[in-house]
Parts: sequence; C-alpha cells; structure tokens
Amino acid sequence: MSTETASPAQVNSEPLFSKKNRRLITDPFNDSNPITVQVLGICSALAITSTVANSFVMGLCVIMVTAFSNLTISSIRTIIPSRIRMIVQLVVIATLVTIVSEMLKAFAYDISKQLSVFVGLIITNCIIMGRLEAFAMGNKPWPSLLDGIGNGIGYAIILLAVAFIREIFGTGKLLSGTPLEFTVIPQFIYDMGYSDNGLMVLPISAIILIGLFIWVHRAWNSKLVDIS
Amino acid sequence: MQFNKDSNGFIILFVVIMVVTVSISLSLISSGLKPLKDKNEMVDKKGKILKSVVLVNEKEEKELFTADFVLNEFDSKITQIVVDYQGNVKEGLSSFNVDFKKETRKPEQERSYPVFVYQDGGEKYYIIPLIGLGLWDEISGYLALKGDLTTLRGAAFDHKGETPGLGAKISEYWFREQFQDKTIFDEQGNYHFTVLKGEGNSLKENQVDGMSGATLTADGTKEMIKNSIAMYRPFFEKIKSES
Repeated sequence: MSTETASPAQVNSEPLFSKKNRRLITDPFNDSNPITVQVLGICSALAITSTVANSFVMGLCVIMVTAFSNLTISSIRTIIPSRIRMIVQLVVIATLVTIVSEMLKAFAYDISKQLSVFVGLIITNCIIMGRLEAFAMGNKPWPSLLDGIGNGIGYAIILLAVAFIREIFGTGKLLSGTPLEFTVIPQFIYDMGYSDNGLMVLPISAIILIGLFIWVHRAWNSKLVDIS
Repeated sequence: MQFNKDSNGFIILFVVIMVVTVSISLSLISSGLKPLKDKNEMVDKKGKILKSVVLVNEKEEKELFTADFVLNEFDSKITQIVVDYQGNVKEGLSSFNVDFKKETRKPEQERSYPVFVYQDGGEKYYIIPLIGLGLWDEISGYLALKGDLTTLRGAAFDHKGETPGLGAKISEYWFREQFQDKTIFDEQGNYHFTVLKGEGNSLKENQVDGMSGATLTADGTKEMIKNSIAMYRPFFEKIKSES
C-alpha cells in the first residue's frame, strides 16, 4: 500500500493542515459522525462489537480502507468514466479489503479468525462507498485522504465505545482475547448474585446502544437538531 | 488534453488496465504472504490437535501455546498414522496432510483416516479429527482418547460461523474441559456418549453439558463425535485386540 502515498503536497497550495483540512479529520468525530449522524456502517458495528480487541482491529482495517480508497479514487477521479464509476469504486475498495484481509491472515491470524467474514464485508460498508461518492469524486487527493482517515476514525470511536459497554456488561472483562485481558467486575459482586447480561453479547444490544448514542449525541450537540 | 472519457473505447481501455493492475498486485501480495499464512495455518492446526491432549488450565494454556512450543511438541511427541476404513494402517502417509473433510466425502472404501498418536512418558493417546455441521456452518475439532480407547483425554473444537456468545462457545475452554475423563463406550462396548441440552445439568460419565441458547450447535457436536467415532471404530477394535 505504500506505493499509493504519492506526495500529496504538490496538489494543494494551502498549508497541509490548514483549518479546513483539519476539519476534514475532526468533523466525522462529532458533527458528521458516520455512525451516529449519517447512520452508515451499522451492519458491521452490530456484528463485531462484542469485544474491544475485535473492534479495535476492525476500526484500524476500516481506517486503512477509507483512507486509501479515498486517496486512490480521488487521484484518478478525472479519468474515471462516469458510466462505470461505481464499478471502479468497488474494484478499488475490494482490492484494498483483500489486501487488509491478507495482511491480517499473515500477521494477526487469531484476530483474522475472530473477525472471520466481517473483514471481507468491509467491502459492503456503506461509509466507504458513501465517502467515495460524496467526497473523493469531487476533491483533491490530500483532502480526500484526510476525509477518509477522519471518517474511519469516527467509525472506530463508536465501535470502541459500543464494544466497551458490551464487553464489560456481557462478560465482566475488558480486552479479552489479548494478553492485556483483565477483569472489571470483581468476584464478590458475582457472589452477591450479579450475573453477566447475556443480551449484551448478542448483536441486538449493539443496536440499542447505538440508538442511545444517537440520542445522547443529538441532545448534546445542538447543531444536529433539525429545527425546520 | 481533450478526450471523451465516456466513449466506449476509453471505458474498455480503462477497465482492462484497471483489472490487469489490480490482479497483478493482488496476486503478488497473496503469493508474497503465502509462506506466512501457511505457517499460521499449520501452527493453528497443530495447536488444536495438541490442545485436545495437553491438559493445562485456561491461563497456562494461553501462555504455553506459543508457535515454538506447538511445533516442538508436535514434532517430538506425535506419531502420525493413516488408516483405511477397515482400520488397517496405510504405510508411508503423514496424517497431518490428509484432509479429513475431503476424505469423508469419498466412498467409504477409498477413505484415508488420519490419526495422531501422542506419546508422553509411558502413556499413549489417540487423537482423531472431527467434522460436522453446527447451526450456520461447519464445526470441527479433535478428540483425544486414552490408551484404553474408551475414556476421553480431552477435546478441542473450532467453528466457522456459529453465533458469537451462543454457538461460538463451542471453542471456549469450559466446554472443551468437560470432555476430560468421559467415556464414549459403555461396558458392553456400545457407543453411549451424548451432549445434553443447555448448561448446568447433573452429568453422568457419558454426558457433557451443551450450550444454553445453542441447542443446534450442541446437537451438531453430538452428531459430529458420533460420526467420527463410528468411522474409527474398526481401527479401535484392531488396537484393542492387539493389546
């Protein structure tokens, strides 16, 4: 993938991290978060948020794919024939996802087994194609790369937040499956009759949590409220 | 330069270049990483085989099962034999490379069954592969039998797509642990092993708990073990009569 990082400085006369460019990264954290505001990429957010470790790796994979697909599509946007642009976008996404999946199999085999089909399903993650259509097709490579990274991180943050809650209440532990695993809920609470919430390990809990996140997000960020 | 990027000619040219570039780069990456992927898969498979027979608690297992340990232990303690459907040993084959899933799809007479014999001190354990269907997809595993070929040493399971938190519990430690010291044949030599429904049952020597919320995965596990034992029965009988 390193071959794709052509120096983006030449395409932009404004400073690399001008205010506008920084907003491209930070906006998706809050005002235009892909999950809680744009409501994209929910499918995988439900499936792989049962543990923090999985979500972290999935988040990284998606950041890689959004960043580099945005960069690639934006670099060739002027020569993509418009009649087949969606196919081109899909080919680029699918290629990147395959590369990510191969890398996982080679360097993080256990995690690739746990994420199983969901790495492959990044291809269908609506965030990626959404950003390609909405941003990369009409902007220069450098802002597109930033937009991709920003949206990937925006997605990863929500994933981690959901996974954090699900893992604590579903299994009483955090970071399980990694060497850093530790128990959050001490044994004496179990002895007093507490038990792990089985609902939390099921995907259904993720949709409830994401719903709550959207609610809290809107209550807190007045810009998101539709006043018309 | 003015060109019509929506002309049919350009579209075809664009697609050809794109497809060629993508396929070349993907095949380069895939073949470049192949040695690493193969090694991971090999360690994973050998690790699963060993987990059915090397009994340590969950925490120790995590620390113990490094790639080096798995490869070393496998090479030094495991003898590989391949048997046919009548239980006769086929010479000159290594069982690790026998694809059990493919073998079970062949006509019975042509099958080769892999067996791994683990030797530790004076004890001999026979490890056989398992393959079956869970709720969504394939489940698989290894079953280790003690030298009497009636009592289980342990088991290890894996799955492809069982529901996380329900059927996926099949690969968790507590589920595997239950198989230790259970018997698969009764005193008359009839198969009597079974996986019960749900968790928290009071268990006899031939029973293990299923998984609550995953009765179909548990049933699949039961069938899988039954089928594998049936396939290896002639081999077991041979060993028993020889000793």
